[in-house]
Amino acid sequence: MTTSIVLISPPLFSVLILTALLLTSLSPFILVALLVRDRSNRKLW
Amino acid sequence: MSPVLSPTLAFTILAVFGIVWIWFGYWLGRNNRTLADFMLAGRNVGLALATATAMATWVTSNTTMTAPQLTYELGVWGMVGYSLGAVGLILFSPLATRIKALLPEGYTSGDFIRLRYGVTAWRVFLVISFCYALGWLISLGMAGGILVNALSGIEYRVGMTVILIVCVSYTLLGGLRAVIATDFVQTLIILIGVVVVAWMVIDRIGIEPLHTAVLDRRPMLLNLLFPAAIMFLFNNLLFGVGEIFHSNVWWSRAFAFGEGVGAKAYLIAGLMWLPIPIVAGFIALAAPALGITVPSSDMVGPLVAGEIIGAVGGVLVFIVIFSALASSLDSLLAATADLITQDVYRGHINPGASDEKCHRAGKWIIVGLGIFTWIMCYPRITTLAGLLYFTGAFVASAIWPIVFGLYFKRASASGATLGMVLGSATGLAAYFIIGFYVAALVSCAVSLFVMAAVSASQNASFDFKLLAMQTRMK
Repeated sequence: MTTSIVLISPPLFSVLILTALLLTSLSPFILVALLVRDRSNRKLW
Repeated sequence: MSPVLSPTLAFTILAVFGIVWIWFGYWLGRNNRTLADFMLAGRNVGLALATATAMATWVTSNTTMTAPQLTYELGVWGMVGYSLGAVGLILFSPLATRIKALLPEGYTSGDFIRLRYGVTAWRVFLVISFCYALGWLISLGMAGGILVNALSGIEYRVGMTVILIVCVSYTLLGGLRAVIATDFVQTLIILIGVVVVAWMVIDRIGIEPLHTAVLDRRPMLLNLLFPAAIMFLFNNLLFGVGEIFHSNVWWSRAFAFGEGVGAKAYLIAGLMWLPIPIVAGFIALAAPALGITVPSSDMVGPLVAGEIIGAVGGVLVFIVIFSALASSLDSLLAATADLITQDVYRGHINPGASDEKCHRAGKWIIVGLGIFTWIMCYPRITTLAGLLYFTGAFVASAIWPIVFGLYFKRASASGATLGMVLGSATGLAAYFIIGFYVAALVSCAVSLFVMAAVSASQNASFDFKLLAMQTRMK
């Protein structure tokens, strides 16, 4: 059986990794901002 | 592999974090008065804590460990496929609103199935739920022992025991309130840790040299037409949807989140979770560039992290993995104990039990679950991914009974029951005959066909108003 091979190019691979890493890096800031907002609105629990 | 930190240091970290989590659980649980306080954190959790707990529970040791493993075995599609687990969280967003509206005083996913489809479907659903929940619990317990051993040299059984004791203790003391609050802190630790390790991989190797090294040594990992990997992608998507749609871990949160919070929390959590497996999986692709020999693919994540960040960074990895384990173990302990309390104890053993009695029983059930998990984890049964995907056959069969049951009055009880039974059976057959990567696909397809065909052949017409009325009457 022949298996086709299409490799992901270096630029596309870089875009995938860097985008994922950038978004993951931002997540803690979003969570803390939401926490501060909920706390000031007394809506934590 | 030589451990990245000494057993003494690892024990110190486990002790310090263990004491902090347990104290936090005690502090948060001191005002729990009612069953709803203990099981559902008072039913008014805000957006920040709701989002973090949804994320943290879905970021498990399986994300930090199995995502690298799957990337090492299935390449780019392995990590992208794992990240599609986020679709389950995103699709659960509208369901969370519907669940809260239909059963404002519900406690578990079992409550819905019992009231919507009757006793037979409810019992089949409970079997599926327990197969999944216990499979996941054991998988997490084993992951704890394996990771602690890989990172510090502490014996597998000792590490597994310590982690279980810590999680059982704070869940017991604080209930869902403790689980949710610790999840927030644990989410921040996990995110920061994964990001730091990934940036260090880029700093040490670079993305293009890493790509070149993988191309030289394991080119199939970069292949976009890797058939097994593409099957895995779709299978994982359905597996994730099935896990979330049926599991009481997510239903109990839908009941616990405040009015209007559930939909937003699940949507934001899904979007923020999406890139995490790609980042964690990327770390595994550094193995060829670093020349690491990987004895067992479920060890690739810790091996690369240990090689990249050495002794000091080993502390970070250890804390991240401990947090990932704890954030899922506590949620699963609490949600499974709720299911046993409400659906087995109150549903089958003691139907007249008051809320106070269930509150007390729930605490004993958490302890019992912890002991059961410990016994099952004592021998290392199978590889982590294998155990996790075994349950895919069960959970995917529950997707359509849940969705149809929430939205369509014509969805019938016999359609739901047969859909779950036949879906699980064919999914299991596919698991053994073809492979783990098709179990959920087959199960979901068969369940859909059976559920739709049987419901269409009958003339059921369910009145959704009954759900809220019957939960109040209980």
